[in-house]
Amino acid sequence: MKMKKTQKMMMSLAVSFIMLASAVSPVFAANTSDTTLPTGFISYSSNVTTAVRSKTNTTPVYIKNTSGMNLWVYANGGSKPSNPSVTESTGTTQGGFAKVLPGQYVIHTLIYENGYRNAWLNISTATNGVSGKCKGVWSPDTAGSYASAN
Amino acid sequence: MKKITWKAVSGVFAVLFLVMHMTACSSMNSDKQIEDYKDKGKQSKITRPDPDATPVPEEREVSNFAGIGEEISESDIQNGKEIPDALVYTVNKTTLFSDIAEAGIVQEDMVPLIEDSPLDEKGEIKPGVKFLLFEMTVKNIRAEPMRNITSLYLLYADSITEISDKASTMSFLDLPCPAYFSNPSGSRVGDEWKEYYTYNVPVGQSKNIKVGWYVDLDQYDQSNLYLIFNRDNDEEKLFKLYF
Repeated sequence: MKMKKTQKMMMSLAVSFIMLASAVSPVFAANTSDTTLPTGFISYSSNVTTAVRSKTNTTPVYIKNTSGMNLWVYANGGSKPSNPSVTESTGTTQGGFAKVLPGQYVIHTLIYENGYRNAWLNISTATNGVSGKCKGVWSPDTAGSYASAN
Repeated sequence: MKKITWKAVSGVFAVLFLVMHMTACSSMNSDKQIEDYKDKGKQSKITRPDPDATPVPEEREVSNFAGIGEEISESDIQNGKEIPDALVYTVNKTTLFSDIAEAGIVQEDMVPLIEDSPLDEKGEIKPGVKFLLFEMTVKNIRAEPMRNITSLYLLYADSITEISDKASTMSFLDLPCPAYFSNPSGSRVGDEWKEYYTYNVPVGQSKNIKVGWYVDLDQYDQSNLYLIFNRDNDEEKLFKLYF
């Protein structure tokens, strides 16, 4: 009887310690809510950029391209400069860039690993001569599995 | 007596866990962005006509400002092409609340991760932060039914910037995504809600919606806040807030 009570007490303490340990490292809600890509005009040499959003973990960036065009995307970290150029990149897109065909994809990045806690996308078209209005949604973090764009 | 002792110990740790397990939203490092914006805003955008220039017939200019009760057309993008007059928005009401409770909204109905968190280290709303709620009607004329409310942007303009042209040519500061939307799709899964901003309006139908933002009025003058429709497209419209 004494052993059972002691074991109960130890287990309870152990659970409490585990709970406390996890509380020391705050857990952030992942930023997976989809927001719109800007609907401005893009071409091989003209771009649009998304708003800056919080990046909370190392999961890839999610993008759904419904523009009908293949997109050239830099997934960048940190704050966004004024009037970013079509090639503005923080070097955080794995492989240098992501070519995003119509559909749902993830873009693998080093945004969070490189210490950035915000993300934004720089978008143009992937093919010279192709232009039009951008359309789609994205999120800085991903929940679920999708094909890779890079 | 012994039972009470180990229960009390567990209880203490549980309380500590709850106190320390406060959700802290990452905050955007917007300080430099705001300072850069303010410096850019000091450059005057006002131009004066040359009195000696040959008069040129003026094209009829359509105001790019909209007001309460006014129908605002928005285009839809389909296959890379702009479809004009695809949706009609009407802003019916704008209200500034002290907090979401005053607006009759509960925390569970907010977006799981609120960008640029309005909470301080103690988890309380920062002084100066208010909750701005828009009530509007959206009618689908010929747009794709699945919509995303973040196609609307809340912008801040420096008071000395003359706003007379498209937002894309002006120096606006983007405020974060809405903290509240009344008609989300899908459901919350843990701390995530992927389709929070997504909603459906079939062609030919209307929907009444509410969209809310936290706004720090210690940082932003409320008279310089604008809701923008149709950004970067031909029918761009600015809705200026009046309180």
